[in-house]
Amino acid sequence: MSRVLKFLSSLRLTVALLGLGILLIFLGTLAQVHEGTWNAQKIYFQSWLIVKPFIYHRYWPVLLPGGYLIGTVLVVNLMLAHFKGANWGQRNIAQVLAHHVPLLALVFAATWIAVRSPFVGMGLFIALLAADMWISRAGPLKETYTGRKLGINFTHLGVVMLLIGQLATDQLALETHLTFREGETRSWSEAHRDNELVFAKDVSADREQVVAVPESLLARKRELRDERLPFVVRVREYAPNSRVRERAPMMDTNPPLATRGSGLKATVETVPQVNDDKTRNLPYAVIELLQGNTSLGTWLVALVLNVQEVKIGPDTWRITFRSRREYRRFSLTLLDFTHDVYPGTTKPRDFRARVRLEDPKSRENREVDIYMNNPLRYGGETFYQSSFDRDDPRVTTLQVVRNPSWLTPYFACGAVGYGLARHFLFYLIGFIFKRRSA
Amino acid sequence: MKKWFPWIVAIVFASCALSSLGAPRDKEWAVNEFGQLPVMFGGRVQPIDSLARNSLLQIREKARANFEPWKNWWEKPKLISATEWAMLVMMKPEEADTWPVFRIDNPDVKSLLGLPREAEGKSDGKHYSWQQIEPKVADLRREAARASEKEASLQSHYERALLHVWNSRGVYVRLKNALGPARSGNLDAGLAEYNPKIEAGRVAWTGQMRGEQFDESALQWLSEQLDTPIMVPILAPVRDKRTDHWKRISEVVLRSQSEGGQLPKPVEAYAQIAKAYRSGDAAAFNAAVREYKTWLASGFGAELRKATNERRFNVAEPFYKALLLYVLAFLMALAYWAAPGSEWLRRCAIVCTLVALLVHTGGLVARMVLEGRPPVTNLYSSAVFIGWGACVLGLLLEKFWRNSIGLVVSASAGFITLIIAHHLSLSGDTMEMMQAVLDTNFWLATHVVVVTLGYASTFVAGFLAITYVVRGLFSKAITPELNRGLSKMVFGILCFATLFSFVGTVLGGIWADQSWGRFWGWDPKENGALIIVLWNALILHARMGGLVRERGIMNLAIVGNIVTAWSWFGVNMLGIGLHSYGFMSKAFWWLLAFAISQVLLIALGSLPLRYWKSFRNRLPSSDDSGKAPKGDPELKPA
Repeated sequence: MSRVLKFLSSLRLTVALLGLGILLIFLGTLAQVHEGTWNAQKIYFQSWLIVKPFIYHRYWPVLLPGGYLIGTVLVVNLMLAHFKGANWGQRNIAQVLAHHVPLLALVFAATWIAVRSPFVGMGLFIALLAADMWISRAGPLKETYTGRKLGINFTHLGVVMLLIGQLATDQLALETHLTFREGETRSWSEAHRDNELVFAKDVSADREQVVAVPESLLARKRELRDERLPFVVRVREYAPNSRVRERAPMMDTNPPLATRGSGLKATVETVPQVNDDKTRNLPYAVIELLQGNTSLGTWLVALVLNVQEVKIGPDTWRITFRSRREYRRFSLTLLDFTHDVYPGTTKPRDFRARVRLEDPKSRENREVDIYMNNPLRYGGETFYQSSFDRDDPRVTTLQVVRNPSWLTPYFACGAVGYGLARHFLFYLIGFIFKRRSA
Repeated sequence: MKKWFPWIVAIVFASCALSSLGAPRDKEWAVNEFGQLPVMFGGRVQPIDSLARNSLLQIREKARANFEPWKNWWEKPKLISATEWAMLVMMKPEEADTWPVFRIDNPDVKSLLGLPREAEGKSDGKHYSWQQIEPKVADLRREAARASEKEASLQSHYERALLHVWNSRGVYVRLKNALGPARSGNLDAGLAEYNPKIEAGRVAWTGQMRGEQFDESALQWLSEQLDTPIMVPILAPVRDKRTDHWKRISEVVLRSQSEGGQLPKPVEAYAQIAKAYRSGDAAAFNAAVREYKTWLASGFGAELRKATNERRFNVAEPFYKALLLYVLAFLMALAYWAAPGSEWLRRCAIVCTLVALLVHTGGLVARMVLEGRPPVTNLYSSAVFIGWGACVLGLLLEKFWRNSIGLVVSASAGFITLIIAHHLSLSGDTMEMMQAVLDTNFWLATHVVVVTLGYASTFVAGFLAITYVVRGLFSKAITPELNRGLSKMVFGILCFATLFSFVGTVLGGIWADQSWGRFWGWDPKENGALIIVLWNALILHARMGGLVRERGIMNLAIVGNIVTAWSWFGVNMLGIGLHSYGFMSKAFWWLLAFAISQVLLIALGSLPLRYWKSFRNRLPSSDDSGKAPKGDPELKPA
């Protein structure tokens, strides 16, 4: 047991992990060329093991540790090393409580201020560092206490926070997009990688009832039941990527895919799934609606098709296959979108969306500018000016990010940055003094 | 006597460097003053001189035109400045067409264009005139269109060379069309020639829109008229920072024809200038240029001043001078190693490096002032800045260890990075405007500067390690003291490299969080920076744990060179991610060569100690290099 502990807390393991981490990042970067950033990230960094990686045009029969594995072992290694090396003497604990903990609190406070106003925060960092150096190197604590390991402790604490924070971000963060035209109001955004099959009917003049089925359920090609739906949905066909086009009267002689709706006039070709970041998978499905044992017909649903309607009893149900929507209680209205380029070039100089934010709950109703490097933060989410429509100058796309742990990297990096700077300065000052006295 | 050498060196070099700072004088033709006239190109106001230089750099990789490239330099070939060449292209294109300024090296491209391949008579087999290329321009266009559809990484050598020639043609034609109908000097005659072509172009355009048959060459001509440098400043109703109110000469002329009204002053001024130039009347030319400048000074004083200052910066060529001085300093520092007793040599080298650094700093600051930006805005300026940072670090090392090692590192880093910068400048304007996303001085000043210093310090550690390996193997210079000193230097520099690269990377993450909503996105450039941080951390931990000794640290530090070069250039070659602002396939082979050279150095560094000249005789007591430097006694606090 103690041998295992010794290994787990050894510097040898740290060096090996750092080396593996470098290898992983290198391979993960190369993989982005073929796999796309998003996919490479999933395979290499957000995984425990990488089985048969695809490197340089072929699969290699090797097993590599993934980002999560390396990160976890690194955290364990760090913690054990510090635990093992810790000094539990009373005097040391007193020093930790009287000096280290308050100092860490001050570093975090400076970080918190730096998030709001970077200049003030950085000034505080430097002042803190100078005071700390004076106290431990020249001031009252010079003879008694030097805090040699303090910088390293802070650095390692920050690294642990950074790794855990990244894990939290991977698990908790949600990225969606909001595309709208001048004059349009939106209270929802779309997740481009997730799709849903939606059945909707009007409940009153301005409310609708929505039953949404995620794409992953369609992929199983089973029967879907829901008490709010007056019918059973049977998924007959499904493919994750396809090309839907209009039926050519002379060419397409096979029977239409669906007996009702848009599917009568369309034909579908399945195509392989794509991974790159620029193109998108366009799934389709053929569904049959059943009331008891009687079939109401089959419908073709696909991302590219418009809403289809079916009348069942007194209600008209609308069927669509669309990007998954995230609804929120407040709404944004795009008032004006400008997109400037540098004169005589096509290089973008400035994108700027002026939006009206309306929140019935907090009764906020104000206009905001969202532009590059100046997002809107509201309701736990951040709205960034992200892209525009090449064909329509009045359309803008905002990226919406909800990341409850967005502040952890700031604090973590505050601790690491302070720790490193302190550690190296501590020795540099010692070195210069020594040379001077020599 | 010898103690005066450093002072003499300082005075001579400093006066050389300062000599071209004054405003250059014109002899017969007011070339300098013409070169100061402001134009709008690439989204920014610049002097005609910058436009001309950047055009020439793209076309023939030199900032001067050589009209007789077949002559050796001692035969005094006819060299003319970029501005003079631009005057010729803009106002006497029929003559400019006959001068060989297009550099073409690829034999297949030469055959395609039917150019003489070898040097014979009045051809050097490398440079060709537009007149020689023009007959085959249709073939060039067709092949270029085909090649440009391919992804850049899949293009063959021939295709890349072809696209380069096609790009040169674009640069040349753009300059030729800059004055539009004013270039003949006679606006009425120019317009008489211009209007039918415009009409034909318009017919062709409507034809294309309707999907009918159309005259392709007429349309091409029209689109070329609308893709020229923008020569005419127009007073906007509200003077603000935006500069949209500049117009092309052809646009202005067409508008005044359709709407009536007087032509703006600049058009007339350029017509006057062209008229005088074509008739060979230097006095009239000079008067016309001066008159235009006086007019500009009244409404566009800021633009004129900026253009004048930039022209002065161009003429001063600070980075070229610094490059030469670094080479000299490098040689002197090496000479000191050969003759270790001659302290005066080391002092001369210090002085020379200092003058070079001053000139380098001057250039850096001048660029910052001209651009209104922090020092690093693109790959080019990162090279200039890395060299600067490495040089400062090297000089600091020299201050502590007076053994010329810091000088060698300073000077070699200085000239290598400036050579790299020169090659990067061949792809176009180095003061280009920033994309909207990157348009924030705060983050450019913090993230980019700090991360670049991280690169610089990692390189310095690597260069120190190279001197260790080379000198240790081939000379007896590495004494036990120097052995300890060098490893302390490398350790210290690595500490700062870790700090800078970490803080720089983090600041980048914070910028990304502020502008895209994610702290870390695994973008290739981010990953590259992270790899540098991890590599430096790895070396420090390996040293801490006693896994490597002095020689091992040196070898690992040389690996750091590869890691940094990969992050600096390699990731840009992947052509993905938000940082892929400069895809360079040409540089790939250089990067590979650099990596191989470093691997060879590591192999040398791993040779058993008995092959090391410095250590061979001390082998029995090999404690110097044998003991794990855990808790280096000298680094413990006093």
